[in-house]
Amino acid sequence: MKKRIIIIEDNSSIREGFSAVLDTVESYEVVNLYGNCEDALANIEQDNPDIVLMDIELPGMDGIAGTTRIKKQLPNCIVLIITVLEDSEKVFRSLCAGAGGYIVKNSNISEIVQNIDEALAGGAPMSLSIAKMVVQSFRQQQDSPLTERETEVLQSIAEGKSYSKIALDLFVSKETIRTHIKNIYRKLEVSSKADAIKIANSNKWVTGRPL
Amino acid sequence: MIPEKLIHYFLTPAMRNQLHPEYDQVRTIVSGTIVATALLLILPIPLFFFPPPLIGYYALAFLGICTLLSLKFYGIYWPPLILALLTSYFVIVTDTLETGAIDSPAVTTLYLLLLTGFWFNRKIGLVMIGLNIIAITIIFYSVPEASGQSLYAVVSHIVLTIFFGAFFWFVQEQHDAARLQIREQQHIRIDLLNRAVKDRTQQLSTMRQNLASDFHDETGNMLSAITRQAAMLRLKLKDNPSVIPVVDNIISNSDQLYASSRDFLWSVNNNSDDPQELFAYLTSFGQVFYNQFDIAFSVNSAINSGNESAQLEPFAARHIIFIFKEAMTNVAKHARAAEVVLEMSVYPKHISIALQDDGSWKEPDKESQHNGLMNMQKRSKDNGFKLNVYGSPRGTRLQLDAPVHFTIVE
Repeated sequence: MKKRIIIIEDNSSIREGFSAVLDTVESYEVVNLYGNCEDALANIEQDNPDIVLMDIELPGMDGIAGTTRIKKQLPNCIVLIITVLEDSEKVFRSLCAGAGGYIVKNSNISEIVQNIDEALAGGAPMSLSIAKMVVQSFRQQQDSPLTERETEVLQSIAEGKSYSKIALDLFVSKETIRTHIKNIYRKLEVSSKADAIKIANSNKWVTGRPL
Repeated sequence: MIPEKLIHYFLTPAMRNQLHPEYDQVRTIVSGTIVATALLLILPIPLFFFPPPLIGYYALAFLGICTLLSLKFYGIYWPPLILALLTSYFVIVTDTLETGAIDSPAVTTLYLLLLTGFWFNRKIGLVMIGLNIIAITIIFYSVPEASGQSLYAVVSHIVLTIFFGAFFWFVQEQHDAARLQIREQQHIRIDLLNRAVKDRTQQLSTMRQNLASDFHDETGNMLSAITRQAAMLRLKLKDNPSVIPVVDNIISNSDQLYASSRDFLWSVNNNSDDPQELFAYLTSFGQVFYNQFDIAFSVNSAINSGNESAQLEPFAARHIIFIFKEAMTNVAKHARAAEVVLEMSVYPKHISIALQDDGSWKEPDKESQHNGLMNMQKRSKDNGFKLNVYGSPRGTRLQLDAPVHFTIVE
């Protein structure tokens, strides 16, 4: 069955650009495009997406709050953040809100498809600066929910090692590394849920940008 | 005239700070004591042939040395100085008594002593007016057959002492007031400058933040839109092979512009002259880049801790980034490497960044248009870096040495 995808992005060129690229992939179906979270949320039940590509800076509700809302309604849906810079603090906050990964807006076609396939297979990319933020976030808690292996993987990414290098060092496959990263993201979401709700509340679901 | 080093030698480390409130006073005492001690050791020699003993002068010189040493080791100077003062009175009074009491020319030395006192400190001078009067009185009464003539001499000496004392006191006060005023003006100017620098720094950091958010909201999105639209165009034109290269060119140009804007933005928005920050940026790039391939990438840096931090020349970071991005791309393209290591070492005068791979070194083709290495060499030469490439069948090492200077981090 084709994977259902919706795209939430206020820049129409980027939105349509992504859509055109994804339409060429046999196993994907782009079901709807939205310029803001509010419209997307109104149709979320009918669209019933497997994947949401979500911009962060949006008119009205921002992508971070939008991710929280979508994950609440469709827990199995994978939200992927599309972003200009992969190492911003906002990307980290979206990951805390439950996003399963991110795609750099400037990526080429094969990178985009690879990223989505990996996300569907359960893996997700993690950059050095995001890893550092994740390390810090877990360090603030008294009992880390991470297993020893997950901690090793996270530590290695924060040290700048590539997946292949980590796989070599830990005698596991690259796929296993990706699974660990997915679990780290999931635990991050669980452990920072309280924080995410706080952020969402303080934003009152709406950022200050005039419509 | 006295070397600064010699004066500072006798000051405690805390006192060497020119902003120390007592610096002026202590400096005067040190330089005065050095001069006085030296003169006291040399000048009495001609007097050696006359009857009065010279022991007093050498006692004073000894006390001068004591003052200097006690200042150096304990930071105190009052006890030996007061002792020296009292000894001076003793020497002058005995000298006077031996050379004709109140009529002796040695009495005038008391005025000079008074001047010295005022020169050190106004309060000491004031006390010394009293001490001078006491000394004169002692000299007068030490001689039993004091006559009316001598009484006149005593009174005139006392009047002159008070006159000179008051005069010195007044002059000194004016001098102090002027110095204080200059200091205050200096402080006002320093405060103004500080505020200007702070405002400027604030402006700069706001500008940097605006640049960053502008890039994120505007430039970055715009460039992504170009890439996305070009990709769309490419899909639509896939049956028209003659235009595909043009579209590919648009995509690659927009990608390049995006990448170089990011590097530029990073270099203005971060402390890019700090080699550690630069190394972290290169690390981050290498990690994301090599994650695309089956190439093991890791980093290794020998960073010296401590309160000193190395600083690259301004604008050097951007060129180093360019060179290493090129090098990393070349390794992935040509070397067929399985493992790549990025290393950095910090030395007293330079930092050394190296990219080491285990692939096979390919001699650049002279005929072909491949001038990546030449570009790197030229960029290195223009910016004062040393670039060396050591190629072997078992791997390649590209090493760049860039000059740094050190600043103390407070």
